[in-house]
Amino acid sequence: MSDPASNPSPNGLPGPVSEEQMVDWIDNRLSAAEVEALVLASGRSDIRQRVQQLQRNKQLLAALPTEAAPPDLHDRVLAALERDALLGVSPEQWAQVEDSAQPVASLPIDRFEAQRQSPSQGRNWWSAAPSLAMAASILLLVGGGVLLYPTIRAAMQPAPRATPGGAGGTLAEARPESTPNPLANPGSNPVVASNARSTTEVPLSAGSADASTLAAATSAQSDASLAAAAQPIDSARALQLAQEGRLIVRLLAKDAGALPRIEATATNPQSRLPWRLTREVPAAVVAAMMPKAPGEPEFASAQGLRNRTESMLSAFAGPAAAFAMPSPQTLAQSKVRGTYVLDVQHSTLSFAQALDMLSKGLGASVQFEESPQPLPLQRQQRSQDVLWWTQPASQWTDRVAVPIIVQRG
Amino acid sequence: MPPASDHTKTPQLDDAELVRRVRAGEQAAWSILIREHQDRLFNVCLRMVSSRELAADLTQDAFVKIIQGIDSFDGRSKLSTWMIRVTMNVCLSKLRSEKLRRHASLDATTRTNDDHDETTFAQQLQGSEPQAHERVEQDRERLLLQRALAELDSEQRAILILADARGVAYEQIAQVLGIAIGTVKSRVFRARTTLRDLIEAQRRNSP
Repeated sequence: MSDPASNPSPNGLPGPVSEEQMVDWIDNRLSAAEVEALVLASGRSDIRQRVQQLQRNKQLLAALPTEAAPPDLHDRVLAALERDALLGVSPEQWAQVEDSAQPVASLPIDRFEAQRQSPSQGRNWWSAAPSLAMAASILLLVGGGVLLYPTIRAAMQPAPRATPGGAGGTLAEARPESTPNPLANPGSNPVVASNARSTTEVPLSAGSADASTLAAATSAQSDASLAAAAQPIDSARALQLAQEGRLIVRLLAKDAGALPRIEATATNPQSRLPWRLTREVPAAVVAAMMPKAPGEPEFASAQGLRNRTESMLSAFAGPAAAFAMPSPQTLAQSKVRGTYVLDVQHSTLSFAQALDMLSKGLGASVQFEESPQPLPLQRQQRSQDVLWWTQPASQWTDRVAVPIIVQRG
Repeated sequence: MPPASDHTKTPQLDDAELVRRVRAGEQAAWSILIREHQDRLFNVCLRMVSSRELAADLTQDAFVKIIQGIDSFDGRSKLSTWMIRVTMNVCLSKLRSEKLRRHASLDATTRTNDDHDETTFAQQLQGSEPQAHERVEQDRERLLLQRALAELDSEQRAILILADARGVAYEQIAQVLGIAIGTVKSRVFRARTTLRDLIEAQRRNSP
């Protein structure tokens, strides 16, 4: 393009002079002799005047007054960064920052995090050796446990009692009769039966419960739960339940991969978000939130909640836990990715915004659940709460604490 | 007024150190980066869209992209140059997607500069007569320039802002855009001549 022959007279300026030479002239990078040569080569008498015009425009451009950025720009950027960290952005965006031809967009945080690591880290298998070794050990332990389980289980069982009929009992028949298990098929799966036994703390007298009464009670409870579930909880009702401490929010995420970064942002005390998450959830609240296995009865009393908490903890503790086959309850609980308490202003808008951000960030659907009784939740007091008069009037609204469970759905 | 310098950073924190800390996710470094460059980037956006509100939004977007994409800064150019380029991409993307070029032009520019004219005229009344006359003429020239700039094709406006308004060296522009320096000069020259033609057209149409 700078060849005069191939680019004759662009924009009405002299043909035999290249654009690069003209730029150098406008920028005062040519000597007087070189300028004279260009004037002669152009063959135009008004070329000096035209260049002076261009020089004048260049000076005006450079002299355009600068203005100060808005004073809140800094805070807006930080707030936008936090919001992006929560919501994430699609991987197609931010293809290349420097691609001048393409519009640029945000870099996904996960890619951003991956890029933060040095390239060699991704290729260095030796750096991952300890993790791989640990994973292999766990696999061996679990595999060995599965293989040895029947042998150990058989060895631990007492000898079958002689029955009046004289026939040897099955494993289920050998179970003590003082542990009624009406919810499971006793002969089919002893582990399920064991778990079901731990859930018989429904407010019925276990001693008097035969299979039919317990089943009926469970059915009635399930009906009540279904009826409650059938009534949709709108946001106003949800907020009311939240104030009463009876709301549970369940976020069903197909892929909870974004959870760590959302957690990091939303639990950061320095965050500018108008709401907070905290990981400090009382055990009883966690137990109340845990997804239930199919057929698992609801609890309706504080004692039932305590029993469920204990049974939930015992399922993961003790030597037997290493060899126990996963029960439906355990499988249901394995979907859980995190439990939190949301601290948010007691307003429909704030509550909806917080849930909207979380659900969008996780790609999750939101389910409201009504707890039959208030959950033992204490909202963490912040300095702003104590010194409320130091806050803007818009911040004087009450706040509520809402338990949130994130699970694979 | 000369263009703002590209080196307004505190001497204690050079580009490499700032980039390292931003990459490490230090929020304090984010703040430093924003505070040191916000005026410069805001003015780039302001030249591109001629509206303070929109310029602020675009500057915010640009900073988010800069901080999130800081790993793609490879140090070939100065950090400030790279940031201006990212900002320019944000502006161009916005202008392309919303076809703002037309209505971002005259109204906002005229309003802004009419206000500016009133102020300067009042100030000029207090000055000596010849100086006031010169300043009126200068302001008129500036108004014509801004109107013409707003009329300019966004790509040409971008390269003029980089080269002439911000004073970015052609070599830096070439590195950032990934094109030959001759191509940069050619584009700058064509943008300058187009701008001149637009100014002349403005002058002919103005009373």
